[in-house]
Amino acid sequence: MTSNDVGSASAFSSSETAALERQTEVQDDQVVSLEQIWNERHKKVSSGWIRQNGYQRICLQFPDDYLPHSNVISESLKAILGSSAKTFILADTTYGSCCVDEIAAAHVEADSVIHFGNACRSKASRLPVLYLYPELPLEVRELINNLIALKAECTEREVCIYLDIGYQHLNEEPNEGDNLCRQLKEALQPKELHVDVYPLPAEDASALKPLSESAGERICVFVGSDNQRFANLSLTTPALQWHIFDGVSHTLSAKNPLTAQYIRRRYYYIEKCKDAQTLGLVVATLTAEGYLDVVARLQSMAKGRGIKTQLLSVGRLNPEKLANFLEIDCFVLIGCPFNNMYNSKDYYKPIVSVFEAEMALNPAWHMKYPESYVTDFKSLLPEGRGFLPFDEEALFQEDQQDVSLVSGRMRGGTSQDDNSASLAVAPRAKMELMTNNTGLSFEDRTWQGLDPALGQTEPAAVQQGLSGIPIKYSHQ
Amino acid sequence: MVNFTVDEIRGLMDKKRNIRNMSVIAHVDHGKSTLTDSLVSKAGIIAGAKAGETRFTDTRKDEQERCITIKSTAISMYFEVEEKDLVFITHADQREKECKGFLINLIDSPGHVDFSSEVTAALRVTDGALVVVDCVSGVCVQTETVLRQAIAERIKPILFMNKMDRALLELQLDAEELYQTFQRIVENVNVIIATYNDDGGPMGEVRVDPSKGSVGFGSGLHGWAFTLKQFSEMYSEKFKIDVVKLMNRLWGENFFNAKTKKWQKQKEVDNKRSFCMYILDPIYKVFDAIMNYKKEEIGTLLEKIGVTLKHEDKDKDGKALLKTVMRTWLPAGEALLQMIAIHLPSPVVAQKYRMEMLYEGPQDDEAAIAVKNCDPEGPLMMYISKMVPTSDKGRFYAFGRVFAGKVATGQKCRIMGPNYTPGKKEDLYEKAIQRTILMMGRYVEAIEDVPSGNICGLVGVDQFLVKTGTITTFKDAHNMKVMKFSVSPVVRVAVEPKNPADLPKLVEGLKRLAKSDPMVQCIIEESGEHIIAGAGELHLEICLKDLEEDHACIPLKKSDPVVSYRETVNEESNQMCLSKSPNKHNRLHMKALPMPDGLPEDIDNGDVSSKDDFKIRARYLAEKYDYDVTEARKIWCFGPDGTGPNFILDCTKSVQYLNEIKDSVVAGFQWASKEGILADENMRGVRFNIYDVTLHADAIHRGGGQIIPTTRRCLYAAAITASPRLMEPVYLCEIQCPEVAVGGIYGVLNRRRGHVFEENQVVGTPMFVVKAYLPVNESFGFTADLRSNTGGQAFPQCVFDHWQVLPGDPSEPASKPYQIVQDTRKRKGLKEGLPDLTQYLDKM
Repeated sequence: MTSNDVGSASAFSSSETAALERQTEVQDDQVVSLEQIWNERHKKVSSGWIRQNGYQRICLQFPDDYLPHSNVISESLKAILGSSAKTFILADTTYGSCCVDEIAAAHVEADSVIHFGNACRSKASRLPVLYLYPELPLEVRELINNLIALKAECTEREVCIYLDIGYQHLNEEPNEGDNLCRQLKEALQPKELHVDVYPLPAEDASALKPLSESAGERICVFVGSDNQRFANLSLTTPALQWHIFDGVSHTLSAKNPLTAQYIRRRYYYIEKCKDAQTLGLVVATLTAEGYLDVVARLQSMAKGRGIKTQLLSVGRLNPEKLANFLEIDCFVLIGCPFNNMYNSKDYYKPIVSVFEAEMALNPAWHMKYPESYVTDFKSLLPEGRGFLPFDEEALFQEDQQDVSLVSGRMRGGTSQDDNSASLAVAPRAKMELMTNNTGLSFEDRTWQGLDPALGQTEPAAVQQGLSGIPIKYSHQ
Repeated sequence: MVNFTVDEIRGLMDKKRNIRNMSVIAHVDHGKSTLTDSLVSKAGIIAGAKAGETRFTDTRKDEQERCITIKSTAISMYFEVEEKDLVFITHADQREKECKGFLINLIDSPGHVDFSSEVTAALRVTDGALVVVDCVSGVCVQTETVLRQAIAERIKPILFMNKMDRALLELQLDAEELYQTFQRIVENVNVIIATYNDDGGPMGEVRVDPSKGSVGFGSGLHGWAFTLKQFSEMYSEKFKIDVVKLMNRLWGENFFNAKTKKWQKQKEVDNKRSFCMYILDPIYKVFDAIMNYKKEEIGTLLEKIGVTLKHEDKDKDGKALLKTVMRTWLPAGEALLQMIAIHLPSPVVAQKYRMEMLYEGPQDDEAAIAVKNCDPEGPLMMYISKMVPTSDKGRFYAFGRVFAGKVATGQKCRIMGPNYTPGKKEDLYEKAIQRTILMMGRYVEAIEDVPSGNICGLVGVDQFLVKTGTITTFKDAHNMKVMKFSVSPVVRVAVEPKNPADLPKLVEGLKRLAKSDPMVQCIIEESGEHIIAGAGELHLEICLKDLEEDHACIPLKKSDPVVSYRETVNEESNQMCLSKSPNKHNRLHMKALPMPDGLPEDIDNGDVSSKDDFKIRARYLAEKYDYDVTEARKIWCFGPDGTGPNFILDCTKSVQYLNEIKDSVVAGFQWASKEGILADENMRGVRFNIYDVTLHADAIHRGGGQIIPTTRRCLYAAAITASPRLMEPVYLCEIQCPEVAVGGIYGVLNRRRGHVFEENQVVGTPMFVVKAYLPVNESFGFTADLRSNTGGQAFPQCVFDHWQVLPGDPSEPASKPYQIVQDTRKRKGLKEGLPDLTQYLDKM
């Protein structure tokens, strides 16, 4: 990546206490039992998959809340497979446990990965992956009895049922020929009915069905709890009304579509992104396919607007790490769909998603309102659902004067008719060891480094300095 | 201007000593636009008969409907001074030799306080001001405000007493009373001028004086006006006295005894004040004769004053006849234009003393000298004071004044916005001017080039400037100074499109609105609200209407008006606040304390600023506010935005590496002072002291990432422990009403937490003026409420005056500030409740 890899080397390895104190991602999800994540079916599927493909070194990747069961699962898998196969437990994934940690898997030269729990299903580029979801108990009858209440609303409308992970088995098992889809159709009498799982299985995630004309008129039901996945789904899918059916408490609640409000709120950050003189492109995934294409696209769009970019990889994001980049005005987070929205106020400079950066930088988005939010950056690439071509010419044709509504200043554009300014000679700083062409301007800082004052200071006697690594000096 | 071609006008522009740039300023409803009409009628752009009815300068439909000026409008006029009058122009730089024609660029400005930013923009590009005062209501709050601004900008005023017809017809004042009224208004105006102008200053004496001819009298509506010069000329032959000498005799304590034919200095039984005898008496007689239908008298009178009625006017009587007679006898245009040509300065004269107020850069560089000399051959220096919408949606003419050099179509210029600093590229564009245009009321006319001293419009500059800016050809030029407004955008509404998909249109519309008004602020807040901030309810109403109908063209949802608050502290922090960096290796120790009264205002006004030399600033703070000089020298920065009314001060003693973290601390301070701890509002009047800093020996562990969030936390902890308070904006409210309505005013004000600090009768009238402070938050619907409680007799003018601490502790759930904090947090989508000190404060 860039020169800053050197600086962040120590940021990659933090002290052991930090790992122990770190907040895990367990939030409102119920504590999972072993039975839910490792039942007979799971065993059958995984052992079948391994045997069929003849994998030898298998990584088992767990989210933090599954860790208590990891050892049992590993042992049981070994018992099934016999001595021929070796299993490894992967945990504490760098960016989020939804992504497959191919890098860690590569450390043990694994030939396959079994991923447990919440998955973003970003296409992994290197290793074969088997996703195993928990199976939460839910009676189809119970579901239908509750959904009956929506009948008046659903009749003669398009209805979509999304099953969260944990409930996907409802759709997979056609028990006694009495499958879910048919039962629901009878119960709700909709014009059309779709039953989908979310996140979408397999690698066709980007090939989402093209939205029909009446997408905004649909009634959508999410079977699961009000979690990050629901937030994601409801932002990206236009609907007239959302309902959540909570499989644990068996309650049905209505949720208004949030997209409009959310996008309105994010407009502030989009404006901020337009204002930026320097953008930091933070890569928070190492596996998802296409992240380099997105980086290249963002870089070329920024360049067209005269915005400098910096490519960063800082591991798990936190305010301290990003605040070290004082000169960067706005960060673009390139991460998997489940891990690219940061709304925290603790960050010194705003963080926007790829989609928001696209809206800010691509002139094709000028005066255009998104039908729905896009969390998956792949659909912004050519052939994706939300792709809009970037036309550099349009930048110059944009005859609209542009005032920032955040800072109230003029922005952007080329400041001169001709580029004669590049002939200017920049003063060379003293005692530079290397040239840095990062494009960041440090001129505005008051402290520019030590003044060597050569020949003006008395030579001093040699003294004992610090020793050890900075995190813990040995002399202290 | 009897049909000039553009070439002829261009010829006039070169005669810079014969140019007068002037604005018309006054309190609302004192008759500026009507008076301007009578000037324009003389200059010949609209027919004479329509003067007083057309409001030529009100170009917008709503302006015509409401009969209120909203935008300032410029018109050029041409006036030839007669040979005999040229002798009155004594200064060599006030006229070109052998040239009688004068080019007068007049800007009519709105009178309502809510639009006084338009006045500010108008004053910047003019050198003289015609101050119009309604002689019935006298000098009002807005008269004072605009006059003060004019003096501060070094604009020379002349005075016009308007609505004399009302004084005569409605109030029926007798001559001596009317003289006293005039005398009082002149005195009041001169008191204001004397307060803000130093007679020994570069502008010299600017007092208005009827006997010098710099005060006019008359009626804009009826189209007649005079100065003492007109009457003096009529009588000078009869008395065989020189015109100038006679003018002196016709004002003040000069009495004439008709029996003895002697002038006297005191009032005696059988003498009469000369002003009443020679000026008011004839006018009274004409009024009396015509209004009382004394047919025969009219005939003889008309003969005496030398008015012959045209055939079509012979049948008129009453008011219509009065109008015709007065207009023929004392034509307003003639008197006023003479007054303007004689008493207002030419650009050559004015720019000599205005340059230092206009130019930010060194006073001896090429640009400064060219401005000082109004040199058309020097480098171009032009100030853009406002943007005027064109018929092409979303595009604007940049309107301004050429102070030096020439601006020409196709010329390549440097366009510098207010944030430009010499040597840097920020806010700087080098572009060619697409077109130079003349702007006359609602018409524009293309022109090849415009030399210094003139006012014009530019096409193709609007993309590069938000509202104002400097245009120059001189590479090392600094900016022209930004304008200071007398009002602040303290009232805000949030808007959102009815249909969410119209959001981009709204954003685009807001951008256009921001451009088209000199002061309105359009902001997107972090909460996702789109805010429009204006000076008052009327201002917002007009802005919203423009936004909905012209700029965005979509249906909007509008919130109720809200005010923005400020966060401050009441006392010094009750403990030393310590915060540790995330890695625990760096510690900051700080305290917060309130600034002394008056200091935040000094910072607002720029008397104390980040640009000052630190030694001079420290001495000022020490002398005025008892600050310790050594401490005051170590102010690190002001905030928010580097200029706001808070600062952070270094009180540490010999801390290693301190200089290295200064940038990070400053960044953290800007952040915290912009988003205060209580409700995310700006802080105001808070001083933060850094007492001690412990830093890690290794640079990577005291980088921005460690220090910025820690500084913010420490500042918040300091603010929480210093008993934080909310501040609210307060209006100065002036209400005019008859005595019977005063009681009703008190009732309304009491209910709205207002308090009256002055109550006066306007001498010579039955009107009372009540001055009060009224919290902006309580002012919504105030005008309507006041009208209904006083039977429509009271008319308020509210202008932002100061910030005031909202009584009550925001940490007590029963208090009003608590409620406001919670409401604000809710609106902004923040967690409700009170800030938790333990989140920000660390233990050793």
